[in-house]
Amino acid sequence: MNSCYYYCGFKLDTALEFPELRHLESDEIEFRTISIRTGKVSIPTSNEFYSGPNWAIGPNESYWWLDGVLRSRITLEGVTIDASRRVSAGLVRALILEAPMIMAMQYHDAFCLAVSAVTEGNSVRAFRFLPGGGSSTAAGWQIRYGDNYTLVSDTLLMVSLGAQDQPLAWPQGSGLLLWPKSRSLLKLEDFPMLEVRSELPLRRVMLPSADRALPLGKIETAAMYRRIRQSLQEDTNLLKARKPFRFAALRTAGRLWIDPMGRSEEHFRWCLAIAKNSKIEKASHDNLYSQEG
Amino acid sequence: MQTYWLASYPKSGNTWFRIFLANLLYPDRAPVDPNQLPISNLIASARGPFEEIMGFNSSLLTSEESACLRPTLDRLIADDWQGKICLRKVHDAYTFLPNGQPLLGRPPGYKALYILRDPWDVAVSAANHWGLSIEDTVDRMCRRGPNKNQDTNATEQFPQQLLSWSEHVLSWLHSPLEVCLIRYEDMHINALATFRKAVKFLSLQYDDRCIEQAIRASEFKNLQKLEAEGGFIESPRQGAKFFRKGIPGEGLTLLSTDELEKLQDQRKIVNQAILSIGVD
Repeated sequence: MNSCYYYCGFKLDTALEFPELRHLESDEIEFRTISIRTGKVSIPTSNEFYSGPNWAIGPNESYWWLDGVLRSRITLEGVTIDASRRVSAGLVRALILEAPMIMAMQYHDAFCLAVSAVTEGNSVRAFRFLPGGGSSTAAGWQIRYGDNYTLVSDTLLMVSLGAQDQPLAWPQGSGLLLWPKSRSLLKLEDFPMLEVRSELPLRRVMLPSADRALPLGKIETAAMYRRIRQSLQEDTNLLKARKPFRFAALRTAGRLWIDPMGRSEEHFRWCLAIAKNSKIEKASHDNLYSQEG
Repeated sequence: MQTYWLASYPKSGNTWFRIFLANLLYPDRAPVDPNQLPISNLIASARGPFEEIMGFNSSLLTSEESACLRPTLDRLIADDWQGKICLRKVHDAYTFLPNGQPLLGRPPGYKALYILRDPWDVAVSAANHWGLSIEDTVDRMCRRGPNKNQDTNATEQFPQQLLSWSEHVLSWLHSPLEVCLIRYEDMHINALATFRKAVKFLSLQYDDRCIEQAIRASEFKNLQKLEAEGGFIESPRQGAKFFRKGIPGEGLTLLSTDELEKLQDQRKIVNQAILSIGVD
């Protein structure tokens, strides 16, 4: 029997269990639906697809795989998963919620920024550092030590365009993936958390989450946590002129797949709307960590 | 495109060489801003390109699993390379994956320019960079074999297998790749000949006048001045200088007798290997 879950502004309709996601009632119709089902998936060898090391992209169907772990076929309707039985269910779920879901959303003309984000008043404040550079920790910090922040995203921030192309940021809804050092820093021992896979001490921590889409206010960017501690680095040139557009384009999750899917025009308009309507600025240590924990 | 690894143990002149190369390739921009080098800064262990090309959060994998995917990624990066030369920084030792494949490629697609620095001086510089005592740094440089406890955290780079200092050097010298060895000390005291040797190995066509100009534009005192004025993005932490002193021989005055001896043993292993291989 299928269940429905919320993820990135979509309703997932699936027989798989996703304990990291919030249940939705099956008759909730405000969200577009992506089905996730299990089945045999064969990776195509045809050169009709635009291919990468572990993906093959076409305008109507795409494939993403990780050898020995998971193969998936993605269309507008949904995702078919062919996972190895030797792999932990937590890892399979975590992988489904990344590339296959990004592709499925792109078929719906829905694009995600690869950022962590929190609510700040009635808008969304996002953080983009290098992968592994501490943006999840920065989001967690605001929630733990700031006033009335809630979690919006850990890795994928789906942004839709509202009236006058106002960017609206949708909660990801899957908690925050954190390593022991960050959990200790953020004093999260008492929060509910899920193991991702037994081989790693990485945990998905379920922090208070936003429950609706809000305007994307600003994106703070830095190379990495330790670099923004350096008061000497005042790289104001980073974000002048056309750079906000470039920022949105380059930080789009799965950006390599957009052209071969035939979604370039929609993506161009999306980047333009973000560049015009959201602030992108250099993160500063004082703004990020003003409340010492 | 041919990939050249610019390989070294950390704090052995890798960044300095890349600044030289940027000044050589782009003389109109000399002296280049170390924070905005016109050549790629892409270290082999960076997570960013991995996640962008493979399409998922790399911290979901163990370090061994992600290492197994890196050779595929490196081939793709070389195939798509747009710059004048595909020279990539690497601090990993030349090691092999569980399936027997090398982490860092085979000839003819890969060659390596290896920068060797006196381990006594490396210890002083690395201690500053890593925020460790010299004693702990020397212990780390002498610790043999792979670090097996790497999946406790994720940073902007994949865990690197440095091995001990001597194992690091030997891993590259004994690798199947064509390796050109240059010494950090020679980059100081015999600069033109040393950089000329490297430039020739990289199949670049530049005369001595161009090489000398690039050397002058990359002088250590200039880099220190630029770092003092505008900071440096690779500085390890607040207040710590990346371009600290760069003077050969500092380790001799700062290491204890015990520390000197430990690293002297490492140095002997390397010197014997260099003599027997005849690469120097």
